[in-house]
Amino acid sequence: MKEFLKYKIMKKFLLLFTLMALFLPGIAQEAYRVYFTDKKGVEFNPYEYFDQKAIERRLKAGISLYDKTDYPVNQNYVNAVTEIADSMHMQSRWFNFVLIYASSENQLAQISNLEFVDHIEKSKLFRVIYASETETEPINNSFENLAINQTERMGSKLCRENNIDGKGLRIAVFDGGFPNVDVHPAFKKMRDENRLVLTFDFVKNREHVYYGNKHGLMTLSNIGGYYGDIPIGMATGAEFMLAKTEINREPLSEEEYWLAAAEWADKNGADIINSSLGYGYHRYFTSEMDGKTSLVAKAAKMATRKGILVVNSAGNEATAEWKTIITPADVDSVLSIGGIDPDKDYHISFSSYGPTADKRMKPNVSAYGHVVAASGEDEWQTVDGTSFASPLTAGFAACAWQTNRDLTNLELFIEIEKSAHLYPYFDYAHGYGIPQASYFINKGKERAKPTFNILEEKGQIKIVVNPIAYNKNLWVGSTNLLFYHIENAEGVLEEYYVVSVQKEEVLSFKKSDFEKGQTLRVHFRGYTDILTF
Amino acid sequence: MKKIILNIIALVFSFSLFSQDVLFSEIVKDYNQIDKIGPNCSWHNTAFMGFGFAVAEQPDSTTFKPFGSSYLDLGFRSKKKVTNFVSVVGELGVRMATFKYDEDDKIIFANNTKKKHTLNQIYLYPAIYLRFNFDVNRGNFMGKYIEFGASMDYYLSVAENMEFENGDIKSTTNQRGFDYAEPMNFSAHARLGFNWFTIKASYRLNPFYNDDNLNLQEYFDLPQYSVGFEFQIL
Repeated sequence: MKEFLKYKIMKKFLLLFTLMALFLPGIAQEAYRVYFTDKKGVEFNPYEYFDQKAIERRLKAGISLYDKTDYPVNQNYVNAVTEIADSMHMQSRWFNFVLIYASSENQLAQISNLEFVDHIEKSKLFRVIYASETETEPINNSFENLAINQTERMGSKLCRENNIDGKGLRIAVFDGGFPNVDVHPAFKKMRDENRLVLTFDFVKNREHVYYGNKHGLMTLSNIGGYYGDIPIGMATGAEFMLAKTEINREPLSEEEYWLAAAEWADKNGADIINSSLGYGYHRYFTSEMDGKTSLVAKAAKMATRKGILVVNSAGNEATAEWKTIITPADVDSVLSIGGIDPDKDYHISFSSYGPTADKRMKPNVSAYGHVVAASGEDEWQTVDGTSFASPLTAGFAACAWQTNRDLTNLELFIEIEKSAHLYPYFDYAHGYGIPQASYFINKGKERAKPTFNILEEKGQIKIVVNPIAYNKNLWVGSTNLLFYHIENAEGVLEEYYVVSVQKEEVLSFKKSDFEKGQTLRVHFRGYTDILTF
Repeated sequence: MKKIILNIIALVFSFSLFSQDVLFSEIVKDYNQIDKIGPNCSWHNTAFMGFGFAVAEQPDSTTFKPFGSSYLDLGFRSKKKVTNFVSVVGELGVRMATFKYDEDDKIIFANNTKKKHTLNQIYLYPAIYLRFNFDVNRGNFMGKYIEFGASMDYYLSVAENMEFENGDIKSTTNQRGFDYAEPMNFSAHARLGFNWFTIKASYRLNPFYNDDNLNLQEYFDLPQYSVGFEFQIL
């Protein structure tokens, strides 16, 4: 050890660490959000700024046309900050910030000292999750049957019979790219009728979006596309806005793109946003899926405040370590969509579970998570993911809204939940189940006749199917599924099940196994009953 | 016996009476609690593999072959998170290092020509690091980080191999158990990490050869710097 001291350790240490520091400059430039204190001096004329549809939406929802969050960012502020920063990336009128790139603390200090700068936040880079998978357990539904059933399960035939196809609604689709949407036959009717009203690539700041990840091509087809003559989405008469918000090959993206697209969708009159995207593991913990933490959650919430119905896939994390929903599906006012297995008519294995971190029910409703979607230049394929359950529901929502344009987005949200086939039963895999067009077209749900009884005898709770409803020869597909859950006194589910009914007496519980305040809720063939202990 | 049979009958009867075909069930655990184990959780354990090269200095008259003096590391690493920004990393690794002297065709004595000269080491090194993450809010993800640490390198084996040629006669020597090699060395390390991949630079703090026992002037210290990379394998 005496040799140890012979060496000028400190000197060499410094040399070593200087060498290491040489690696750092390559990653030193970071993105920051610079928030401004006000929007002083900004002139704003909503009638010039907004699309007519955006104005109509605001007026219908009772939203002021002069809401400060709609005023553009003060360009003098933007210019002053941009002069100091390396570059300016985007600006948000909703949150009154500008996104800049800066590479030194000195730049940040200078920007902080500007009197109109409120605070600076580092932008979080994160990995986008396309809520789709290419492989899952085999599903037997034939291709054409699946193409029909994926919308028919929600009542598309009834909609067509009543000429309901989302006409008059404008749907913004956020995705990683829309290759071949300009040539694919699935969208011929859409193109012929000039219903692709607006496109924008937020990554490259240009209008061309017909390239990149085909995920967007697929999701769009499940809102308003065709497979031959078969509509594979329900909103075949709606208008569309396409926003490319993700970079195809870049592993990390700025969550500001989603926000920028939402502001663009709002300004240009979108009624519905479909986002089959989500953000989870790489940036957040499940405990942060509370609808308040992520920027996309805040953006989605703001979009709903502007009267837009935001439909988002729940995620495909059920079989992963993450297991639960991803943001922005965690936002209370975002309609979060779970996946259904078409052959089983209940939860598809990968569809993320709720609840949110603060124990709110999610997903809200469900749709098929295994679908036929457009692919390539003129092909169709089956594909799996809640990415496709979400656009199916967005298409449904457009049709539902068409039946009653007086509804606000949040009223529609609640009505869609009520229309679902399990309502008022719910759980954290299916939400309220699959929305049904008949609810909107027939103006409400028929009161279901009791299909089972909850009996108490000798310390036992028994669920006995009503003999009138019991005709197992007629039971095909989903009709023999009994759903039940146990809810605690705080209204949070503790466990939930789907049971195949094989005989009249389906379930038996010991009454003593239940705690005071717990609720047993059971659903069978449209009828729900509860027993509270 | 009678009682057992009755119980079995009762059990079978109860199954048939209350049987149900559960297609799907979910017990709602506290999904949203942060796990204790994970890349950005309290503990994170991982095995790793590393590869690198000695950065040869030019002491005295002898040099090492560029890229010929290399090492392979295998080890296990355990991280304890202190704050979002700081973690302590403990590590136990085995390094297999080879130093190749650039002495090909060097005439040693008479007509003996040295054709090859290598020194092989195997040593065990417990190490401790302080990890500083650049990005504190990153989910359960390692992100980018820089680490500074030190290790004790306990030599399990040191072997010197030489090959000589004298006309048609070839000879080799293989020596082990040097008493002039320090059995315990100390090193300082710095690493720059990008998730499962790290770039590493090391510096051996003391000379490998012990002067007190070293009488042969031809020996000189081995390169003290090394650079390389590591990646998680589990």
